[in-house]
Amino acid sequence: MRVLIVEDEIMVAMLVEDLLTDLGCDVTGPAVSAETAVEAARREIVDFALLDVNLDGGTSFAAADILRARGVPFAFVTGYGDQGVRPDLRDAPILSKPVDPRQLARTIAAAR
Amino acid sequence: MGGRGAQSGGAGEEARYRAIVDTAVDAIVVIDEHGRIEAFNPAAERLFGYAASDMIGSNVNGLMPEPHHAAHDGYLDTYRRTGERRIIGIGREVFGRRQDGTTFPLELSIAEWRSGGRRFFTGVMRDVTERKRTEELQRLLVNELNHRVKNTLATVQSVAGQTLRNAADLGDARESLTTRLLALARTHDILTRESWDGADLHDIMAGLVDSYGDASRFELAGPPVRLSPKTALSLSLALHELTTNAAKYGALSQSTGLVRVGWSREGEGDDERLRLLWQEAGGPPVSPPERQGFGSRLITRGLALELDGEAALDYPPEGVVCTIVARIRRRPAAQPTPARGAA
Repeated sequence: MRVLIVEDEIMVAMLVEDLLTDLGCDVTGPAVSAETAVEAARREIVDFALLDVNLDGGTSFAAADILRARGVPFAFVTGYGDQGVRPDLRDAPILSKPVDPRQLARTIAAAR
Repeated sequence: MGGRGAQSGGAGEEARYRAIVDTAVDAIVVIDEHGRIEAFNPAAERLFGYAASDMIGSNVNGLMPEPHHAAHDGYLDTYRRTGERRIIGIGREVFGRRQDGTTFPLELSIAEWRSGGRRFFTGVMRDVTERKRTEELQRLLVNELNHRVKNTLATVQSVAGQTLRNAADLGDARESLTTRLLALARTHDILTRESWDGADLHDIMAGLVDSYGDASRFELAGPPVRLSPKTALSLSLALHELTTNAAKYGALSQSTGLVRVGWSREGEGDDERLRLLWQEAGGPPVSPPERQGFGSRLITRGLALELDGEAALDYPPEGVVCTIVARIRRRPAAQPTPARGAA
């Protein structure tokens, strides 16, 4: 399973990379800005994406829209809670920071 | 006892009460049971921007924005018929409307009294714009604080996880984790001094040298460079890793060794970049490490991405060399981000 990581804090990106690798995923990214996230969402052939909500003043919502249109499932990771996610995207799993590896494992298992 | 009994008549007493109303800091408006204004004190004139002479006799609903403006006569009517109290004797926060049409939050308390067989209502009002603004700011700050704490905890989760994955043994893990958390805390201190607006590279370097404890082992040279909080945090952690590595295996592991850190600014405007060179000399002969540790992963993979530049670690025999090129972004100062806006 190939997973795209969108995360502007590299320490958190490294963490997510390790956790996903532990779960047997191939990871690509991280995309660190709203623009590179959109680019990656258009270009990358992935089975799943893990999207940090807040990207250096921007958000990952435009990337989420593209992934949705492409039929690629995704989950959000955020320090702001559900309220930080655009209402029409809240049906996607929303993981909080710090990341609970068990919750991440369940999310990935559901998407497999 | 020079109290009220000492007053010879009603006129003196009325003047006293009048003075109390006229000098009150809070706005005081008296209406009859049909909403017609009977009294309008100077504080009310200041608050609403109307002269008392223009307001006496007019309907108090002129001081209210919709929906209360249109509904107020009905409120009074309902109260006259049912005696049901919604606000009288209780007080609440409502909006007022000034002469210029602007509205503002105010705290209103209403008392009822009777005189000469007629019923009157006294409203005491205070502008709470400032208090509301402070409450809103506080709410934003608490949300922002929560967000930052969660992010910091995620960073600590990452540092701890990688430290434990890479550690040779438990003692090594404890030592590495502690010094990494201290390095993060040091940068937090620098950023807090600047209200999390950013940090100068000089201050980051000074903190690093200070924590090492021997300034004579470092040669630093470079112009002032302003770093964003995020860049400051990851760059200082990277520099901490280089220092730790130098103390264990490199130039700082021998008394003759030296670390030179030089940096410069290149390019103009949006293309302006920081070029930083870390160079070790005088240490034992260097060879590339057998596997990638936390520090080299942070520098060569993470830092280059985050800084929108390049980062390279080289291991020539004469000493470790690290080159970091980072875009210097020109951005407005960070504002607390409203959680609901999700910016």
